[in-house]
Amino acid sequence: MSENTSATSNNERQLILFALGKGNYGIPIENVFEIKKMGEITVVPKAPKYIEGVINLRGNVIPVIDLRKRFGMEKIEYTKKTKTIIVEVKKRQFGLIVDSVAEVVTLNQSQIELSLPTVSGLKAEFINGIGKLEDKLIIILDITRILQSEEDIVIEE
Amino acid sequence: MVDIDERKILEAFLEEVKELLETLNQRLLDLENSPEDTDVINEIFRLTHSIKSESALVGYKKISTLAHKMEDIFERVRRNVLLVNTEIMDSLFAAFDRIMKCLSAVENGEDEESIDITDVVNPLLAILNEDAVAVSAAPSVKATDLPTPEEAKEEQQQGDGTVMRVNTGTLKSLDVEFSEIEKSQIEEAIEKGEKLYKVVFHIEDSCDMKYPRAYLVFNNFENTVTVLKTVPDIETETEDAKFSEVALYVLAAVSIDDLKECADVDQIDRLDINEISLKVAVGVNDLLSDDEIQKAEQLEQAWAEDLAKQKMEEQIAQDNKPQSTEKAAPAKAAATKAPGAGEKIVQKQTIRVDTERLDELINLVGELIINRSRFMQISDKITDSSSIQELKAEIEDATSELERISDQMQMKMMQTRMVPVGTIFSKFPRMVRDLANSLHKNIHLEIIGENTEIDKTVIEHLAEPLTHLIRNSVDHGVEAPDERERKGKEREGHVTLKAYQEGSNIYIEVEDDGNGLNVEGIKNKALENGIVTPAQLAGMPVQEIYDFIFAPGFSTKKEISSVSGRGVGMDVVKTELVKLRGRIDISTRVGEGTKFTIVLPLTTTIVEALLVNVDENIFAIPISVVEETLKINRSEIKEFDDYQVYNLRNETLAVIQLSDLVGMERVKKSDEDVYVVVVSFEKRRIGLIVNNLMGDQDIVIKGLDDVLKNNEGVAGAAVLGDGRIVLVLDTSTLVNATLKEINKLAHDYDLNGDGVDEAFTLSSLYDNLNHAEADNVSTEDKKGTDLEIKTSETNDKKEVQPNDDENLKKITDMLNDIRE
Repeated sequence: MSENTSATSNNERQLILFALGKGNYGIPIENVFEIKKMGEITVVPKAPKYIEGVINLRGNVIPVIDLRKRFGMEKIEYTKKTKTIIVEVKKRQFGLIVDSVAEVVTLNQSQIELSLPTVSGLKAEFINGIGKLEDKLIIILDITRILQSEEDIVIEE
Repeated sequence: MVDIDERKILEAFLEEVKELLETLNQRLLDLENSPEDTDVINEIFRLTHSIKSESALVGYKKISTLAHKMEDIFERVRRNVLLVNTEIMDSLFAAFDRIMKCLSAVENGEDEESIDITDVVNPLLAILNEDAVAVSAAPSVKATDLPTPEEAKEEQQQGDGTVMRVNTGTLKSLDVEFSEIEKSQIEEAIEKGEKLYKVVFHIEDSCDMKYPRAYLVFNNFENTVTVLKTVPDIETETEDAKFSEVALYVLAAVSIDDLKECADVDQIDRLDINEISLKVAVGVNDLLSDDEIQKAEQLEQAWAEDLAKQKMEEQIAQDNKPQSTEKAAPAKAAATKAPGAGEKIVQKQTIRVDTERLDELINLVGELIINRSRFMQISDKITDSSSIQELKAEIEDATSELERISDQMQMKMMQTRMVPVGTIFSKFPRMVRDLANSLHKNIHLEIIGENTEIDKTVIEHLAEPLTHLIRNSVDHGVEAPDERERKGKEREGHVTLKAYQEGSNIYIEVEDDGNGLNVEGIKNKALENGIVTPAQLAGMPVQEIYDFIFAPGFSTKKEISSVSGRGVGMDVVKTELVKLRGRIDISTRVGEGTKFTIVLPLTTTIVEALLVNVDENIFAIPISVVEETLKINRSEIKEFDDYQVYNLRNETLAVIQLSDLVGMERVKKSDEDVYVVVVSFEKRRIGLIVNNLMGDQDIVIKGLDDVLKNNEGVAGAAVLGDGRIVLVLDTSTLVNATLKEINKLAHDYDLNGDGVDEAFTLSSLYDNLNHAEADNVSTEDKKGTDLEIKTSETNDKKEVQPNDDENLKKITDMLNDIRE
């Protein structure tokens, strides 16, 4: 299992909540390094198509991924709300470009549904569970799997 | 898994012993040259002694046995009882090699027991007039076997040459009384499989500091075993006179050998170790008959042995359990004999740094902190009402200070990675000696500049290429003594290994005064191997012909020798050097000798680069490959399909849009002014078209994440001072890719049936296209270093290289046609 599943001691999970299109997604907080405003991105020729380029994070050069592109969603203009979530996976850092970042939420294990075959076209292996918060459904992403997989992932909006 | 403590001990042992062996190797060679040098002999004696003690301490009996016997030999040499001759030297070298073999087995997690040492120990024993060890004997060797229960006498050499007599046996009676507490302690220990010994050591009468000496021995024992009692009591008495003989009562789980090791201190001339049985110790023996005692003792012993064996198995089975106490750790490591067997002891990459350098760094860090507070002060002032001018001056001042500190820190930090090339040079004298002997040649290896420092990562990859080069010089270069005499040369051949630094490059030369390269031989062989066509060969500069010796499977020597000549090796030299962003030049004179010059960059991470602009993007090109830059109008570039050529001072230069090369979209304008960066790699030139030049800068190359690794043309990225990221080009990959494309193009052209008279064009245009003429390529030519990272590319290149030239020529012809 990936490190995403490591729960907090009292069966609660803290998630960074972000929006992509109409969907709400969550990434376990232990994977998140920091959240940055959009900065200058340097294009790397011949890079995989969903990689926007590289950014300078305090002297380190790290790749950034446009999650919209990664999930086969329509590209939109970056706005002030557009953020880069810096995640750390297996000692490697990546930036994830998302439409906006909402908040940090704490979900109890009982609020998380674990096994679902597919959610809006997203294969179960890329999902760590579905969280329910009030009337919202939060898709908790298995960011390790998503970053390691080379296959096309398509989310239907 | 090996216990952490144990692993640490092993790592320290490996590091230490390797260093000792390196010096030993050097001194043995020195000894061969001057067999009567007492300083050398004394040093060898000390070295072998240290190796023996170190390895015995961690339980490597074979290494310690070999070192011990070598030590014995030198003990005699020292006393002038024995004189070293070639035979003895050979035996010593053989023993030395076997120690190295055992050590590398240990390093690879194998058991040194698997290595037989009898064949090299026996010659040593023969020299010492000692009984040979039967080849069929059990793996362990007599000298290190546990002493038999009966009285055993043995002489042990001390580091200072004094002889220590060792007596071992069992005691039937006791001259001291143990207290009840001590008795129960003894009972408990024996139950656990430990043994009680009375250890008596005698300090040389001439020793004038007996108490400290006795305390030293006592301390050794304390660190290894439990000391119950000392007579005289070492904790209360301090008078020297009382300590000429000291008795220790110890509880030990270790072997008698390990006890001996504890007393292995200078000026101890006698050591008695006697086992005391439980019955004797607790004083119940008077009630039993001797027979009964014996029986009981036997039983007890068997039982204790069983227990000990069981314990040992347990320990081997689960070696990862933390050892009971830190104190006991070395002893236990010794007891298990082959610590960490089955697991590779991966030595951590460590580096020894001169403390002076570290101090300088620490000073700089101090300055940096002061500088930081200065910046904080300035920011405080901003809120006050000081003038902008004042603040500006202040900031400028503080910034320039920061610049100086960071520059120095960078430099010093780099220096900590630098190690002298001598660390790899030191193995070559021995290699040359052995090679020369086996080839019946007389060769002297001279080493110059072994203190030249070079990056540690570079040095690790240098050993192999140098080995091949030196081997080549010894085998192919230097002639046999008779032949040399016929030619009017000294019978003794010379090979020189020289290192020096010039600018930001390190030069390493391997030079011999042998026969020189045989150009005709190389030509014939190249033709035979099908690397070139006769037509290509006709106009080829001699320098390029020499380069063929680096082609895989290339050897001009007729008979295959055991040393070199199978054609492997020289191609390794080239591939390894390219990996290090280095190159190699050859200069040779028939009948006078050959010189190989390796040119390497000082470091691999910081590079001076030319920054260029392509549309919105900035790229960095390592300055070492940049020959010149030109400002031209795009209309001056002749287009041929997708390929472009520029007439540079009447020479044809293939040019390519940098954006095309890295796979970016080109914003095409037909009549703008552009810049051409002429880069050269391995005597091939190509022009890169860019929009603008931005000057040069030192950059720190950072690798890109694996997801971006598929772009071969990009070696990495670097962060500029203003935070922007530039991509660093891997020029050799780029150039090779281009040449391949051109090659393809020419092939298409050929198929169209428009080919020109090949023989004519090839020879007449060759020089025109080949910019690097023979006399330009010398050691002073520093342009070959490059950011080559992918090795597969180089192999590739070897195959396409000859054709590239051919095809370039065709293109030139085509251009000439067009012009006409």
